[in-house]
Amino acid sequence: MDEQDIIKKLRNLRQTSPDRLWREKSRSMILSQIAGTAADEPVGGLFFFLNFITRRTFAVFSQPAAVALTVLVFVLGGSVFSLWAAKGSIPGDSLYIAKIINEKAKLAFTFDEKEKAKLNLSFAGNRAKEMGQVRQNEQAAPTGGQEDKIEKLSVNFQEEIKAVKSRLNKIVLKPKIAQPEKPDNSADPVQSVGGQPADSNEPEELVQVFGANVEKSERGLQVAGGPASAPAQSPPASADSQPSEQASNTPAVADQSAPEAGDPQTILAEAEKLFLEQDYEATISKLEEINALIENGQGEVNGESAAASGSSTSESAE
Amino acid sequence: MPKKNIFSESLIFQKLKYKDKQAFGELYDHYVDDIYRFIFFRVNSKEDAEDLTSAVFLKTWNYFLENFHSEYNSLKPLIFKIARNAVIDHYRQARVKNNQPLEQIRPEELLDEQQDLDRKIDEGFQSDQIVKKISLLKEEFREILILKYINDFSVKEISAIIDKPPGTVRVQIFRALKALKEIMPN
Repeated sequence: MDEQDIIKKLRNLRQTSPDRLWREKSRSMILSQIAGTAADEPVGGLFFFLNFITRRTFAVFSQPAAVALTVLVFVLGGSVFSLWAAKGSIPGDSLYIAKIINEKAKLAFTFDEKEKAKLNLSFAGNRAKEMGQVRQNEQAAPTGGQEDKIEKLSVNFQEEIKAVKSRLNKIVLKPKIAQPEKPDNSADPVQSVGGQPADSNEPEELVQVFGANVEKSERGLQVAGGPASAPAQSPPASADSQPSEQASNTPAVADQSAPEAGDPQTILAEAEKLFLEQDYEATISKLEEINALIENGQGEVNGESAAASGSSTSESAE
Repeated sequence: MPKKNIFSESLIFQKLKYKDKQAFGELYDHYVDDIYRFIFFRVNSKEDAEDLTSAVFLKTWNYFLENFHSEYNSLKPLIFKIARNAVIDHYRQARVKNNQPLEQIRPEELLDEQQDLDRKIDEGFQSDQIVKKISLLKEEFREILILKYINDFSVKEISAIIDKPPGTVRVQIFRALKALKEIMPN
């Protein structure tokens, strides 16, 4: 006889049951014996059920897997909520750091140059918005302690613009015509606004698509035409000094061989100028304009455009 | 008797803490057959099994009278532990040996009284044979085979009742089956 036969025979013994008559008599006897110590009425009611549900819920959620899942839900939910709550925060708010971290995380997880450029534009727009709010708050309730925030916002805005310019250099949207004087080579290829990046193999005319009319400075931030002025790496001495410096350069832009309307680099320069003039709404509009150009443009990231470079109107699909 | 789900068992458990007589009746209806089977194949006497089954339910009621804040979260391990202890006490009091003669058990007593008599007698003899062999096993083997194959408990449930790790329970089941196989006729 093998084990399966034995198990089968054992399972047959499940049919064993107490005598029905005995079962009924025993039940009555036991219930009558406990009657003296039992509750007068059956237990129930709202309080009892609430207490029961609470206990059951606690019993379920005390399981390790349920605890881990709950923590994950709260962390993710908390993250989403805090990001949503941080959306309108400005420097000095407790959630502002969460906003910045979120921006950096988005950038880190984006791999397409065009999308990165759009993100940088969006972040620059955020800085402009925040700057507007900070100035508004200062006007409404002058405390005199906003200079630091203004300075930091200004620096961050410039950094975002710098990043956009750098990315636009890598994206060939359309080959342009105007080739101004070759900008000076900068030690830092990232700073070359209109020049050829050190690691680029593309012909100059294509690489300089967005560099037209922009004189490269060591910092690469100033609009073309004038001598390189205040470096962008170090924050400007004060926000007030910038407009005058920029103003001196502004005519130079106009003097350059006129860029085509809709040239992102030009619009970017205009956005910078408007920012320095504290016209933040207009700055944001310009940034959105550039974003639309990138969105609607049919371009390729530099390096893939060898085939596209042959055609004057490169309409290569994205 | 349809199996109750975990939720309704938990509800009965909570009500018993508040000495609900109706809940106790439900407890009795749900567990009386299982408890009876568990005790019957340990003591091999119908009368003793009936007495002990009634005692187990009264002891369970007393447990709830004395322990509002019970360490247990469910009914099954609690009531079967009480049943297990009742059997051990019975052995001590009656000084019954493991190989108690089974003449007092009639084969048809092993099966449900609803079945027709011929089938009862035939299956009863087959069951009688295995019951006799089970009674020859040592107590811990007998107990574990009853819990596993007659009461149909999982390894986890058995582990909670006899206070042994699930791994040990699995090994015991394997050894018990092997021991029973050795004494069963071919």
